[in-house]
Amino acid sequence: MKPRLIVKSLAGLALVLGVASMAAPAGASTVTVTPNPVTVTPDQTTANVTASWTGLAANTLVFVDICKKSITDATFDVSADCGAYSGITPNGNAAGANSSVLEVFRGQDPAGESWGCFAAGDQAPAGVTKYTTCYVRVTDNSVLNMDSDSETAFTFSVSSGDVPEAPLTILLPVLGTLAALGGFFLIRRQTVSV
Amino acid sequence: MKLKSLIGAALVAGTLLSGTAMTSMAGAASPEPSGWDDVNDRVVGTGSDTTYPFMQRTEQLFNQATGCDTDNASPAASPATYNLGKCLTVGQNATNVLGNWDHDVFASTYPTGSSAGVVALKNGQVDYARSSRGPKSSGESAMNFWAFGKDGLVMVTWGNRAAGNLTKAEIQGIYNCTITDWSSIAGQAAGTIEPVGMNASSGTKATFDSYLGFDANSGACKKSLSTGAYPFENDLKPLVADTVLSQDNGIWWMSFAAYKAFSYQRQTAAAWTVDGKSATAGTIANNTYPITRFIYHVTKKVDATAAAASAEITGADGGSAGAARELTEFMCKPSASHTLNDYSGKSNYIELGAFYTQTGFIRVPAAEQTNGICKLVPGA
Repeated sequence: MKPRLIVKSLAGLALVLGVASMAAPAGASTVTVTPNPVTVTPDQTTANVTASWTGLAANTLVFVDICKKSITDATFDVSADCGAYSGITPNGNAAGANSSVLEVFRGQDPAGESWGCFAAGDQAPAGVTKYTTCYVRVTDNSVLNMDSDSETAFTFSVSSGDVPEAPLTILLPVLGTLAALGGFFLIRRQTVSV
Repeated sequence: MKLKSLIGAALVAGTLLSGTAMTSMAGAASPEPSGWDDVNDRVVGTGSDTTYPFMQRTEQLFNQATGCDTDNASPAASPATYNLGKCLTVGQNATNVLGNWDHDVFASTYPTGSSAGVVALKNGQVDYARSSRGPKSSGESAMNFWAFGKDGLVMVTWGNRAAGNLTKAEIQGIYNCTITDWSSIAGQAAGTIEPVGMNASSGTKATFDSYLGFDANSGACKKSLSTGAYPFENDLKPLVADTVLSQDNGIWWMSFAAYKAFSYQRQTAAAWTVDGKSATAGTIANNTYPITRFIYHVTKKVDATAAAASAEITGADGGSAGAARELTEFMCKPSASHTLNDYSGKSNYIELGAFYTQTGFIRVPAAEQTNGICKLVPGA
């Protein structure tokens, strides 16, 4: 390879690396909510979801909040746009990545402010602004920290039938064990009768 | 009648008439039984460290709130006639009753602790007090405690001690020195526990004492700073800087609000769950977290009081006492009764809401409000 080409290649590589580092600045975080949409029964007003985050500062207090407005909105104001009673503050860890159970609310903001997160078919009370898309926002060190925050939108889905009280992770092993025991006794009975 | 007598009589009559007119104007125009006396009083509060940042912000907001048109003429040389910034008594728009009518000026002095603040108020040395504890069982019958927010206490460790869970019995055992090694706590590596005490005047200490059922500074195993002094509440810096205190075996308690809001005070503190419950705004609001408390603005009852379930605060009409009553009403009135801030254009209710976020507190939950958005706890 000619020296000029090598120089050009190195310059191009540096440019690519530079752009890449600009696109993903150090400290950029991510957050997901599971399940999402959040399935609720017709009368259910709260649900536990798992909020998982990455990219937060190591060993630094984490703030997880439920907001009515996206952080990409220039008018976003955490004190006015996020629920005062609905946030959690788990301890940070060395990885800056972890998850925590978060109770999301369906209905008016539990602090009594005039907004709420609703399923599409819900009727908001008079004077309460209905948001069918709300956001889980995470940040570190201070709830006011806008430098390392991120968010994910979430919605509610209302199930038509009853949600089983025991999740599948419990029901499946129980059913499997019962089936195995049934098989065992069936074979044993056949063996005895022979 | 001699000319001198006539002039004298006219002056007296004029004075009486103008006095009557002024009185009647003040009476007619007075927005409410308020601290409106046309004087922008200087009003001072002291006490709690925990509520200091919130009250400083609130005082500034109230100082900015709308009020009367002021006399802006250059002051005369004599202080006796100084009236710059006082209300004009003629042509007032007295319908604006929602802000700071007299443009009274409020300031908080540096923290001395809740109890010291309440005593200073009782002694007449300040006009109101900040307190992060409720009234004592006696000796404070002349005071009204206006809870304007709610908080919790978190148990914290720092250094390399990983946070876990503590039961109330374990916390009591640690502070009465019957539990002395971390190995007695589930999941913890061994090490001699160093339970750190706190400034005796602190409301945060009073709340913790009440939770424990005894004085947290009384155990033989309790620690102070190597200077011999107990640390001021909520500030971990002196504990981290102390070369004698163990960094991995210490335990302390903090305001949850301060823990959340002020990372410089928090340092590397990590909160423990108590009886399996995490401190969150929600668990504090619904009292499922075991150590909750209200935070208070304290006035003399004669200065500010309220009928049951009323957001109308009555009491002193003028001077700094009336001004203290007006501030109380400002803090406790619901959203609809607030005006816009002249500088931000936002409702002062929204501005106050931002202060709760900035300082980590939450508003008093609706179920616990008694007067406006506050909970009034009369002193006994």
